[in-house]
Parts: sequence; structure tokens; C-alpha cells
Amino acid sequence: MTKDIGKLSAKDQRAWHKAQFEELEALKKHNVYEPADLPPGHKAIKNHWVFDLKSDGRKKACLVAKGFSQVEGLDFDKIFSPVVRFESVQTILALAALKKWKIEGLDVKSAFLYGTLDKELYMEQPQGFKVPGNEHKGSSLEKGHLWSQASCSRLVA
Amino acid sequence: MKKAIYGLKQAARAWWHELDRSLKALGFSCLYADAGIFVAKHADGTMVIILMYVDDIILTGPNTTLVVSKKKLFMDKWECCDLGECREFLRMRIEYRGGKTYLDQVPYLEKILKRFGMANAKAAQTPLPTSYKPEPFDGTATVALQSQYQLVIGSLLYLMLGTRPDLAFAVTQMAKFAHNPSEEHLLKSKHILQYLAGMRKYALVYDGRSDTGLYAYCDSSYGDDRSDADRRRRSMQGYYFSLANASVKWHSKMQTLISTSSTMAEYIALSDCARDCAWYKILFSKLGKPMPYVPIYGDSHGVIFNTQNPITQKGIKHIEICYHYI
Repeated sequence: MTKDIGKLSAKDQRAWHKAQFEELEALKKHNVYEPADLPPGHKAIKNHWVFDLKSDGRKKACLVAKGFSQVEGLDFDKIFSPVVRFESVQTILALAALKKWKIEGLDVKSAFLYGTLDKELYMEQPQGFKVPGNEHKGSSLEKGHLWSQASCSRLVA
Repeated sequence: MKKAIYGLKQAARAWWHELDRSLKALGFSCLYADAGIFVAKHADGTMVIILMYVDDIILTGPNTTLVVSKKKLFMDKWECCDLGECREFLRMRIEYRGGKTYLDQVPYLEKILKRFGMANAKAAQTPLPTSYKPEPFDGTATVALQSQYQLVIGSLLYLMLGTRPDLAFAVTQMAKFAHNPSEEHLLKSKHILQYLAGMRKYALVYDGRSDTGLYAYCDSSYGDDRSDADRRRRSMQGYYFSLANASVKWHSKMQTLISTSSTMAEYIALSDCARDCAWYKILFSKLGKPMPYVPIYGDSHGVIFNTQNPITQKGIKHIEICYHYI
């Protein structure tokens, strides 16, 4: 479902704006990127914001790279990543029930931001947070305080 | 960029590599049977098992103190949300009552029924109408229909894989038309939702007191499926594995080979089922629960005869070598 952020109340707009800053803080904390000049021959990957309203009412903004513009061999090689099979989950739950094992749960926060890259990649500055005159540099978060409504007009809830 | 970000092609893989490295440091290694399972074995024979779905994690094992201490070590390395006793995994709800573990997706099911306007739909008795034989669509689906259909099928697939073995046949049948569905296909996939509206509270109940062990049921149809593009009459096969009194693995598939007898179709189904038995054998040997044998129940005397007597008869001599696995 998409909504126009411009039509939201000023209070809601501020709340989503705050969510965006929280995400930028997380990216900074994980040392995800630093400003850089784009070397010739490289293409900067675009990005956009995904807004998510959690079931408990929390607002989450996530900066997502437009990975579909990446070129195989140049920007990435192998992308397969193993995850547990559904049938393994059911089997382990059945096994735990039989053996009376306790099952503990964990959720890793911003997991993907831990991944180290094996390729040299460049991304445009975050949408709506570009520093004028510096558009082609990786965003410097301390300076990027510009928030344009126009570029964040799509809201997914 | 120095680290991965959501949306990059290699983000998931990069994270998995980091994780694999850190779990190795904690004494875990991933299983050959399923790279999403990590096991740490200790000298006294106890072990800690980790299930990993990107950033969703389950830890379990015979020694709770050991499990909790491994969890602490893991949390020192990665910033985590400690969920305590696991009540949700992959958005499936887990409950523990009276020695039984209940696994269901009722909240998700309610949500999708509402999304597709079927919350108050009249309940259907079966997932698909009996004797309905889907056929491919010769026209070209509109983009709107295609995306609506894929939305319905995607939601149903997740339910089917999670906790609804009763949908396995219906959903795999209808999912085949996801690239070019007709109005008729959409109507029939909504029939599955109608069935769910009447059976919305179902859960898988693993009974800790069950003593039947692992066993499988296997069956096939013969030459009744015309859903493939060439409309040739293929057979459907299905089987499921049960442990602790409920299904732990289920499977429904159209056979790629065209059978010339019901015995052949059953034989192929049994062969595939036996290969999954072998998978279970590998898995359980790594989890410290060796399996002597797995009973497979079937209903074809012809197949039972052929598996016990390796005689190549006229009727079945053309069956591919790979299916003689059993």
C-alpha cells in the first residue's frame, strides 16, 4: 500500500523523518560507507527508502540499495546464501518436543550491515539526504541533513 | 562502501559468511544435510543446535545451561534481541502446552483472509473442488491478474510450507500457472482460501510422549494430470514424514516421467521418498539420534513385490536406473 507522505499530518511526517535518521545512525554505527569520489569506470548504485509500520506501531525506515542495477562479475559474483529448510525447523521442533529440550530464540539487529564486501562498490548518497554540490560522493552523514519531501513521497505501510 | 546494505545482491551471502566465521569460533559447524543448521558437540556427548534463517535464530539442545551460555557468547558478538523461550520463528507461532508443542500460522492466515476479502467467506470442504483438473491457459494473462494471482499463490505457498501439509497438493498444482494465470485459476486459488476460512485454527501438534518414531506414508496417482504445458498425462506423487505424532516433512509433485502403469508411478514415488529417508538418516546421525530404519507405508502390492524381488519384468523393465534407488 503506498501513500503520499505529503498528505500525512505534520506529526506523522516528523515521526517518519525521525525513523530515517535512526536508520542513518545505524548505518553510521556499522561504518557502512564513507564519502568518496566516484572513480572513472564505476557506476554508483542508486538507493531508496522503504517505510514499514511494525505490528507494535513502531515506525521503521530502511535504506535499500537498488541491487538490480548491479552487474554480475563486476559488482557481485556469488549470491547464494544458505538458510534453514522449513522441514528442518519442523523436524527439530518435533525432536525437541520428544526430548523435552527448551527452545531459545534470538533476533540479530540489522544483520546485513555486518556483511563485509568483497567488491569495490559505490552508492549514491541516501535519497533526500544529499549534500548539494556533492551528489556523487558517498554520503557524509554529519552533513546530510537535507530532507526533501518530494524525494520521499512514497510510503509503504 | 565498506559494508553490505539491504538490497545489494551479495548482502545475504556476505552476512552468512560473517556468521559462519563467528560460529566456527564458538565451536559450531554447519551440517552437510542443511547448511542452515549449526551444531556444537561437547566432550560429554551433549550438544547445542542452532537454526538460522538470515537474522532469525533458534537455539536448542539437551543441556539448557549450555544452550543459554552459548547464546550469551553469541550475543556478545552480535547485537541481538533476546526473545527468551522461542514463541515465534519465521512468523510461525510456537506454543508449549502439556508436553506438546503447537506450531501454527493462525495470525498470518487471518491477515491474508482479510487482505483478499475472504474473512467471512463460506467454508469449502476441500482445498480444490473434487475432480477439478487444472489445465494451462492458452491466452495471455493481464499484468493486473498476474500480480494478483502471484500475491495469492505466494501467501498460500508460505502457509503450505510452514504448517499446512493439507494444502501441499492444491498449492503446488495452482502455483504452476503463476507465470500465466487465467480468471479460472484465480477463482480456484480463492477456493483454497475458502477452504482455509473453514479450517483456520489448524496447528501441527508435536506430542512429546509419542513413541512411534519417524515413519513415512507414500502414494501416487496414475496418469490423471494435464497441468503441464504439453498436456500429456502425468502422475502426481505425494508423501509425508511423521515424527512425534505430526508431520515434519511433506511433499507433492507432478512426476516428470510418464508412467505406463500405476505400479511404475508408485515405484517412482517410493524411490523419491526413500531418498528423503536417506536425508533424514544423515541429519539424525549428526544430531545424535541414529535411525535404524524408517518404515514407509504404501498401498501398492506391485511396488512392494518389486522392491523385495529385483526381477526385471516385462511391465517395468523400462524404468530408469535412478528410480531403482529403493
